[in-house]
Amino acid sequence: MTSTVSVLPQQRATRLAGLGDAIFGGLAWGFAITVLVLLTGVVVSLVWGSLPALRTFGFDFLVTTSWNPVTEKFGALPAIYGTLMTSTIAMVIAIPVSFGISIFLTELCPPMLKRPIGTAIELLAAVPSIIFGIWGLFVLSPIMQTVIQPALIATIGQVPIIGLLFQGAPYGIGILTAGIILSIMVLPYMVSITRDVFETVPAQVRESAYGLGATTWEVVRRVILPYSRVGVIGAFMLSLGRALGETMAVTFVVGNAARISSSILQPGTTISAALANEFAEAGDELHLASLLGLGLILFLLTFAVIGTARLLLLRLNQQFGGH
Amino acid sequence: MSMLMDPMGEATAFEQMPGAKIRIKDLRFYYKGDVAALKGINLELAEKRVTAFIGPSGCGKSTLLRVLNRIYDLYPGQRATGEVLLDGRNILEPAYDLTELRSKVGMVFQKPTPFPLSIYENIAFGIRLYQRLPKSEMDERVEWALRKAALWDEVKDKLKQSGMGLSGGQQQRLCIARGIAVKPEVLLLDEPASALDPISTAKIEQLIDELRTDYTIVIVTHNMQQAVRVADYTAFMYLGNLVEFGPTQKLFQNPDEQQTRDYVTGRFG
Repeated sequence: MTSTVSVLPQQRATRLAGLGDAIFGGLAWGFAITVLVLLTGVVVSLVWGSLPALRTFGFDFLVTTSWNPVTEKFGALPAIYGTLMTSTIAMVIAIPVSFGISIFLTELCPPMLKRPIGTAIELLAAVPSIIFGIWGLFVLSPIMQTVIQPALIATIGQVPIIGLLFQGAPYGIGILTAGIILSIMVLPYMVSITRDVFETVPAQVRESAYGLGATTWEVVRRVILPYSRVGVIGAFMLSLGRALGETMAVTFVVGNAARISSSILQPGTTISAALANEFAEAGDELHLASLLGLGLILFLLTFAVIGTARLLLLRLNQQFGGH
Repeated sequence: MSMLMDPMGEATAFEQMPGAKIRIKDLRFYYKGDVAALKGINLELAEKRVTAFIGPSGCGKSTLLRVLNRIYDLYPGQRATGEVLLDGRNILEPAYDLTELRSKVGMVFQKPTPFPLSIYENIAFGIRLYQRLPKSEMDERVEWALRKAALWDEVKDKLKQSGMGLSGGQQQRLCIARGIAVKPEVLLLDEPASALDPISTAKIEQLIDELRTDYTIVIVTHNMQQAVRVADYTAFMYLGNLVEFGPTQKLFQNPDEQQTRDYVTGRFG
């Protein structure tokens, strides 16, 4: 042992003379800096391109609801609202379902079923978003229109206050349908991350909890969830980021109407759907600038989500130490 | 340390073995398929005494311990046959309530396994599984368990801090406190000190010595000196068989089997 320790460094020093190291180091630095340059470039061009719109409408761009290329009046609020609303619906549906699946896979699933179910979930992640779009429009929307939406209108729609969310004619497409499609799309990400995180809980810690006589539910709630909280929040934020930016599938089913209605059964639009729909026909400068402004808002939204996640995780880490 | 040895160190004056808390009859255990990891164990574990399982790695001593509170049940495919009678009732019966079993038979593992909760909540976790205690009684019980595990003085000012922030030895005593907080009758210790430094090890051994008056303790250990220090009875296992069982002093000083003699004198293992 001692002889290798004393001899080896000398050999190494004479051999390379640091040239390879310098090249390698320089390359790594270069690649890392490229990321920063790209990011800055994207932000600068978004801000630059949207300046005309921001100058014309000012703060009103964020809070007005009319989006009319003919009269050149552009307000981003409907798209912002639609983006947030569809993502919220997606999270509300996907979080409990993905929890259930992950807990099933890690704690309850017979070994025989573990692989097939796990593989099916990963395959779901591999389905291109355009497929979800087509499926949403031609399969899910008719079902929504003929079965689910009439049922919602007839039941929850009659309840005061909450009922406002479920009013109007059943169109099939709309904010709710987009949210459901999004929830299906983010589900595999959530499941595969939360499952992996659950599995990082050491076997002995699980055994200790079960060894005290805890039931599966108690072990999950009091031990596995606290143990994996950071990773679970990470999974949610990642999925939320994806839901906010998802374009193709949402464009198919959201209805693409730049308006805000109290009911989530009504058509709406999202930032990414508006961008995808209108870029080709955005002839004049103000229209294009408004679209770029929408893009900037989406960028900031996603950035805020990830930033919040980071802060949250930092706080949790300080509070609980480790993990 | 052992109260069994008379002043002359004679190996004759062993106490009558007290009543058995656990009787193991023809126990066989399979991790998977037909390969037995335990090949017909017959053994009695004395009430309110410390019994040590010793033997080389892979001899089945940890496996035997894991049968005693059926923790192996977590893993489909693992199975045990034979009988393990706890106070006369066979715990291997599928109908035996696992929650009840584990409230009676607590377990502490080789590596400390604090839950990612505060020190206080780590102890309260187990208690809450069985009892609804008002705050004041819960406080008392937590303090009692921590005192019993000789940890109270070190943590009383930071009960709200995470249990993961303690040192390894403190974490292990926290796990023992968590185990005794639910007032079990049997305590299973799976190499509880093997991941600890000598000072923490000494504290754990002292703790075992203090707990022996109230609990039936079963300890798996690689450290033969530790077995001599803490155990009243010792079982030597080899390749899934129980080779010899007897009072610790006898087993180490005057074993009946040649295999045991070779192992305890360090000639193999």
